[in-house]
Amino acid sequence: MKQTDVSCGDNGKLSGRQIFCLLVLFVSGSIGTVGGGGGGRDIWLLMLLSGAAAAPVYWLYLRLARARETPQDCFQAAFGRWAGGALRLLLGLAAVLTAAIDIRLFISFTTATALPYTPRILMAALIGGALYMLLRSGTEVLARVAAPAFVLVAGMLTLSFFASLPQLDWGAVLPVAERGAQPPLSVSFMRGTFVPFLESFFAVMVLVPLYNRPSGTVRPIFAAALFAGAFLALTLMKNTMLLGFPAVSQYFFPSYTAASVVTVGDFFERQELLAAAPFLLCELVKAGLCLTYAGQALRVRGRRGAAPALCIAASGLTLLGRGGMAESIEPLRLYGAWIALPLLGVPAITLLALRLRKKTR
Amino acid sequence: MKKLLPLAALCLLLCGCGDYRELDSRDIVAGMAVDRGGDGYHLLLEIADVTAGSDDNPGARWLGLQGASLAEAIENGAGGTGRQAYLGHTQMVIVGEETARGGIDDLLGYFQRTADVHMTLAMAVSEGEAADIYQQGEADPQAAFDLARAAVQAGETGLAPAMPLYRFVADRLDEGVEGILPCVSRSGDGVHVAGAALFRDDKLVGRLDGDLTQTLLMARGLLSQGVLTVGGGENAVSFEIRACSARVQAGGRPDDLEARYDIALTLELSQSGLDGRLDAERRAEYEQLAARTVKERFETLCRVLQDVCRVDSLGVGRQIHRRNPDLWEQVGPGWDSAFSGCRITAQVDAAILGGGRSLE
Repeated sequence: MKQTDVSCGDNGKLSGRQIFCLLVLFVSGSIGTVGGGGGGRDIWLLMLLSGAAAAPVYWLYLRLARARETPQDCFQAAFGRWAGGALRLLLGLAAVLTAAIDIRLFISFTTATALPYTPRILMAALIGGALYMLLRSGTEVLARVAAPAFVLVAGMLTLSFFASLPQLDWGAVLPVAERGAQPPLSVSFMRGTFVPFLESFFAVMVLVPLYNRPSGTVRPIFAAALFAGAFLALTLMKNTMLLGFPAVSQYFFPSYTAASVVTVGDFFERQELLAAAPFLLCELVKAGLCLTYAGQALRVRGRRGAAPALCIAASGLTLLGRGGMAESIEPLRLYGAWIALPLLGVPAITLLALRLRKKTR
Repeated sequence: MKKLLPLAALCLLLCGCGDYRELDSRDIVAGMAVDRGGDGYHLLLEIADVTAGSDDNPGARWLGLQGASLAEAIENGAGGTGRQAYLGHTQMVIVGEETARGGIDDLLGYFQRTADVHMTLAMAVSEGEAADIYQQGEADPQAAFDLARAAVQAGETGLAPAMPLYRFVADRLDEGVEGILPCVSRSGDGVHVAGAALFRDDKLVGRLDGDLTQTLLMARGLLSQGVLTVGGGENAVSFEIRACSARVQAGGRPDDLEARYDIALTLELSQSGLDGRLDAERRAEYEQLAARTVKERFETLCRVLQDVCRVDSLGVGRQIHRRNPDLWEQVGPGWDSAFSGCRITAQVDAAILGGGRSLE
């Protein structure tokens, strides 16, 4: 049987289910860190809100992805050769940076939880190697892995939730919006819970052109936003009810810490696995999709040596700065604040410019 | 599928021990006693000694350390033995009474920040110096493990609060509730875990005996089983607690706060000083007796907490904060004094299911 027959719907294209799974995994790549670092008691509500707010943003991405024959052409069509090319490059570099931050978190998480003294450079090389394999295999192979990976991630997080039920303090999520909507919305929303949905720009731009119904509504994309929002909100709610919100806000990886305190019985003591494995799997998928986008945006995809160069660039970026946990997490707040500009502002302006040009003609 | 195989093979490289160290280059700390004096911290560590004892029952040795901080004391130990202390298997940390009275935020901070330490680590407060507790059990090769098991058992039966590190930290940082830890004391026949140490912020301010601890755990919804004994002497009656639930309603005006507890107990008769019959009349009598006793203990508990220790270990403030944040905004800043003036009442219902294995 040919590979294409087994894989993805028609002619190497992706099915709706595969796109749904990949997007949920992509967004879930942030579950390890969201909620920590002063997220506040209402973090679960913000995540729910982010899932709903992502729908119009995804609509924007979708229009952009389908505006031209390839998504990368739309920038030049909207702003001309030089300005459009510069924007395309900017977004390509942003994708490399997002992948680098992702890998950095992967390394920090693994270092903090399992291998305290493994040199970072070795960890980065190993993860870079895994990403290289992903890139070389292509999005179709990643999509084929997506469905079982999604089942694994959803299953493990659900199991973790049920295992922690006896230890939950159900009132810990109260009171809701104690100091009004403004403080959590201004800080945690734009810099925390909404960021993974904005980052989905890279995934949507890669996946939508591969959808096996080129003109149909891409319902799986919107379903993924809502599902990921609800699912992650439930996970964050569980973390708060288990550890209490002040404690949750103190930890770098609150989901991992929450899973580590659950005791089911002597037969299964290492509950951390239920949080760690999904996190690492999602991080790999996320970094893989980001670098795939970077390859398209920088127009190096398919060229010999492009995949290793991108992996080396992303892995190398992770080695900048010191190796402490705070150095890994702190830049995320800054990153969350400025990433909205390229991932929300640029697509919106591009779509507007394309509309204006169309009218002018 | 062929393309996936190398990927899967590469993932295997991510597993394993990158910082592989021989077991004999580490000191596996099973238990720790912490006392703080004018010259810094005095630690007594129980080190699991895998080279002594048997495979199933390894031996133990004791290591006394001193330093200006916990981290320094532990590093000093490594300097002396050449082995790095590993806290990942530490079962219990006992804090000395005077140390606890001076505040334990420094200890909580250290244990939270140290990646080795598991957040389910059990902590307890000793009567007197913490080192005395472990020294009592120096002959026992698994003193820390035995003590940790005793603490878990005491927590399940309501003799002492089961308070892992993460839960104590959550209470410490939350508004309107104060933390509690189990008490450890030594007597002629060994070391016992019983009673609760009451904290205001991070400082020890008082203790509760076994009965009041059990009542406190009932009110906080932290008790699911145990033995309730009412009366004394020949008339003592013991019940197995099969279930316990507590509902709290707290509110009122800032100058007239009220909290009402509804505690429901499901009991089984365990031992009675009478002939053991359990007819309907006696069942009703026992139910009333159990409810009345718990209510009286609850009133005593409230007096101790409100008038003597002036500390909200019940979490009344937390209920107000969660259910009525507007009211909490007014009373929260001066909660210690507001709590003392709060009118706390309890309605206790006890239902006896039966006599255990006996039909009567």
